[in-house]
Amino acid sequence: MSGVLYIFYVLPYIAIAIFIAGVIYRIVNWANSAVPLKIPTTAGQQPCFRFIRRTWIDKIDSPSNKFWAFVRMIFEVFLFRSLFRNTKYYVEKAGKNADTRWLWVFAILFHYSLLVIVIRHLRFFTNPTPKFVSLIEYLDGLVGVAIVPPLLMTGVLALVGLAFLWGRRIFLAKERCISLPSDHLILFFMAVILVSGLLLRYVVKADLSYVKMFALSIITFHPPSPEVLANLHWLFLIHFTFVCITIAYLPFSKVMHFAGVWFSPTRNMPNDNRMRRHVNPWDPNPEVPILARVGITVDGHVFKCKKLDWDTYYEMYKDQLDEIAENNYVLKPEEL
Amino acid sequence: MGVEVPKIDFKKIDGSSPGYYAICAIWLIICLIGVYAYYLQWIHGEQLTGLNNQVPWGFGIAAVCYFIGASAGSLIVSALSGVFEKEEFKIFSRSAAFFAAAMIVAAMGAIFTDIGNPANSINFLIHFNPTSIFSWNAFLYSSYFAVCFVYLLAQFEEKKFLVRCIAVFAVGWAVLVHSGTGGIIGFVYSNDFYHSSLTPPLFIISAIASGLGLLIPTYILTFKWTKREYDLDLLWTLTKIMGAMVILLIYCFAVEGFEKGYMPASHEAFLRMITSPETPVVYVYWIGQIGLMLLALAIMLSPFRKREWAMIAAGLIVAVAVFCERYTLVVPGLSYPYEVFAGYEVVKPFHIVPYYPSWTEWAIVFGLLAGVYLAYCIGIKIFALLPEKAVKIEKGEVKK
Repeated sequence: MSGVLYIFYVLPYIAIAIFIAGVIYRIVNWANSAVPLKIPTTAGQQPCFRFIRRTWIDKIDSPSNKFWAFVRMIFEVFLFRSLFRNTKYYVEKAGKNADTRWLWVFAILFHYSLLVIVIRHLRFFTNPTPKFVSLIEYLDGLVGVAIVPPLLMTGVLALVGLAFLWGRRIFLAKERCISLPSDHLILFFMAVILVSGLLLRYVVKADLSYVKMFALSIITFHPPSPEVLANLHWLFLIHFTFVCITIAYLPFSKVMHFAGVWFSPTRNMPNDNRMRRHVNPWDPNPEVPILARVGITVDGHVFKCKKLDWDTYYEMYKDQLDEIAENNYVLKPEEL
Repeated sequence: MGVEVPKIDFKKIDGSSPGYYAICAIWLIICLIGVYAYYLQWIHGEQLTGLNNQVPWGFGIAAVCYFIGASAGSLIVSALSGVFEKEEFKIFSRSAAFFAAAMIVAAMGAIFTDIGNPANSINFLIHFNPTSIFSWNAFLYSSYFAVCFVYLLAQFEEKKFLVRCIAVFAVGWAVLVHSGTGGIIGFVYSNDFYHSSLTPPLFIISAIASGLGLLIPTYILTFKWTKREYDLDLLWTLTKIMGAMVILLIYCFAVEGFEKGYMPASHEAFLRMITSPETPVVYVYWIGQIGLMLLALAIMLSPFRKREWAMIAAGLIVAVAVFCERYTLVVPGLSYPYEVFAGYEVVKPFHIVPYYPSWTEWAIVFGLLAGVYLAYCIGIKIFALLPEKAVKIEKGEVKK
């Protein structure tokens, strides 16, 4: 009675079905969301007078049109540019911002190692293995040829990256405070997958021919023979089950940032607030500005104007402005 | 209804004091001793244990029953708010569910260490036997862990309706899992010491008792040491539930004892078990199981019963007594002769084989228990498991 083992054959299909449905749901949901305000965050000089210098880095950090916004997006997605500028505020260090670019280092390390690991796994799902997969594996193992099988750098680097990314959430008080259980959950899944994978390669050494037969049977939709299933190593089954669970969990987790980053309004909008009018999609009558239609209510009085000019503004806050003028425009902070 | 239920603030503990690290270090050291003991057992085999051909189930299996019981008990405490709408117990719901998940992992750890090579545990899938309760339990335990896990996640996400649904399901599942474990032993009809339909319900009752026995001291000490406000009345309610379970247990022991002592197939062996000190079971039975339960009951009925130390002592005593109960459930059935085929004579000579657990078995079981508590100590630091205040909030009073 080894028919029960066929649950491992069905598992990836269920997981991938959940994954695809979940990702489509999330993406459609995000794509349908209104963006009522123009909120690009910028860190560079925006287009201004001709004589104010604007380098290409300014163009990336403060894009003035859709092309440069796209370039910024590419930098964000492939180089984690906003994480690179990450700093941390310390009250005890007299409010100085500390450099936390190590976070960027480990994040880059982890993500790219994971990419290489995923590409390397293609050798199980393709027959014959494509050249570039073998080449990547060869290059990956160049440093670690001292042992058999060659120590693949990306596996080790991904583990180091993961250890830092998780350790950061456990040992740093501020990060621990804001970490949610779901953050730990996905890191836990990743840790189980990585550690079981490394154990399978270097310590336990499962019979890979059966693993490959199993993987090919999944890809080609041909159920494997009971013999293949019975010879799968138990550690491989743990590795495989956790991969399936993780795939099914991805759409509901923060790992959806791989799709969400493209929808983040602070990143994907060009900084052209002064050049182009951004129309609020919730506005029922965008032709007439909301200021002229509804106006601003201050102390029960409604002030309407086409554009907020000085006279209207003075009328709105007459008392306060006069008081400031009486004090010779010296402002004192309110005492709490 | 219609009264707004006050929101409870769950907050991570600071966990930066020397005391916190000292406690973690103690649990870690016990845990490491257990790992070392398991390493020795891995190298030299199960000859290091006190197990033998006739008694292959010993301390480890008793610990499995115990941990699963404590897990089910914790889960029932956790579900008090979700299932029975006891809103005042919502403060315990997260940490008790966390305990339940940690305990079931410890139970599976006890199985893995007991079967020698943990890789053999995959055999239940490769050679699946649908008529074996062991095969079913493998699914029950793993699914039970998954249920605990999802239940905990739903609580963290504050999905009220979902929590309620899963809580009802989880309690049902806990009862099923625990009855399944009781069934392993109770359904062995060829062994008269084991065979009893009272075993599954007895398992549930002692599960609640042992779960509460471990949780009450843990909560009191945690709230005390993290300097959080707590209401002793809430814990006294839990202690009362535990007391009721202890009374039920003593009643069940009496029924079970008279039945075993009366049945012709087992009365001779049973009388020897409870009277002559050929094996340590007689002490475990009278001092551990019956004596400690009566002592705990005496404390819970004494005038000091509402003091902190009395609750802590009663909880710990019940926790130990339930372990003794598991021990007398598992071991004597194998230690004492039984009729394998009723009515036939068996060539294999059966005689009384005493079983003394060796230090490796003690170390592994204590290592697993320490692992649970280490997970709890780290868990309350990383996750928002504990409430900021464990006090009864009057209905209608909205906390700011």
